[in-house]
Amino acid sequence: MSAHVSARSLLISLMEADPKDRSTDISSSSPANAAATRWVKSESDLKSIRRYREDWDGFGSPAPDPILVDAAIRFLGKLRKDGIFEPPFRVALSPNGSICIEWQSKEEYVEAEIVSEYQIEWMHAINGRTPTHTTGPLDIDDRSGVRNRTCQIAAGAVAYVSEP
Amino acid sequence: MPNRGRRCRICLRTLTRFWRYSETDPVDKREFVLRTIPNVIGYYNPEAPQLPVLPEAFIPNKKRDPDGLSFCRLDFITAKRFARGNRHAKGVYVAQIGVADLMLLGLSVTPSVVPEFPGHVIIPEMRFSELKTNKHKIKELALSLARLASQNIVYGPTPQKEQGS
Repeated sequence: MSAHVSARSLLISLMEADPKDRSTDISSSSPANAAATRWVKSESDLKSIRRYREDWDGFGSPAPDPILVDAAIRFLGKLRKDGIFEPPFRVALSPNGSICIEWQSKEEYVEAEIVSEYQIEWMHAINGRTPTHTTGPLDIDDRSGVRNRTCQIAAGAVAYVSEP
Repeated sequence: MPNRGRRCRICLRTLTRFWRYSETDPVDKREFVLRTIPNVIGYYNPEAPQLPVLPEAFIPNKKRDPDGLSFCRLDFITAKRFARGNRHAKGVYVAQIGVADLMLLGLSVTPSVVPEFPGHVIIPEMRFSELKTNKHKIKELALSLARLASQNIVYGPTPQKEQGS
């Protein structure tokens, strides 16, 4: 119940927030175009990350696992299709090899860390509050169909729950 | 007489403490510490006005941070000298963080003398082994540190070094 309330409030706050307050906004003639551009850029960034080699950061970090990057690209595509999330602010390769997808606003920070082909860890931080963490399956099996699932945001975490 | 380490810089902040203030002395909460942020994707993003420093810049590294995250005390080294002493090929930014802010996060700052940089300190709570045992806490702290660092980039970026130099 509380998860549902939190989910609703987070979703509403993301949808209703003043666009001027969002660091994720970029100027464009149309917000839809801007969002589409950001989705494409995020995917493009992930494709660039796939080409990183060992020591990409100058600290000897390993090259990314292409399987993990591909999983992140598919996951991003799924989020875009679902239409619930705004495009992420940025995607990044962590020095430990995981892929991080981030959303930012003045008050909130949401990070989805794809730690394996099957697992995703979420962190939702609101200024002044203790961040929440959730771990869940990275279910991006296209054959099961995105339409059969609903995307539910629970306290900053996303859980994919089959429709009844 | 044991070696007390190098003395602090002479500046207005340290004038009254200079003669009895060395790098092995405990860190005061009124001090500031410096941290280099590599100018590479994954650590720094100039397109992010609110959080240009990524939390990943404060995640302990297996090779570099076995004892804790490294910083240098502003009283012992300038941001410019600290940045230029860094050998990262892509160049670095330098962020300045108040020790009081670190203490508010529950972190301690411990002197750890190294020959390269005077006033070197570590945050032992942010050592690599903690990432294995307490990942959520480390991620939260890394985000808080990234926020603090993003608010106060004091130098950089340093120029990129040529390949092979």
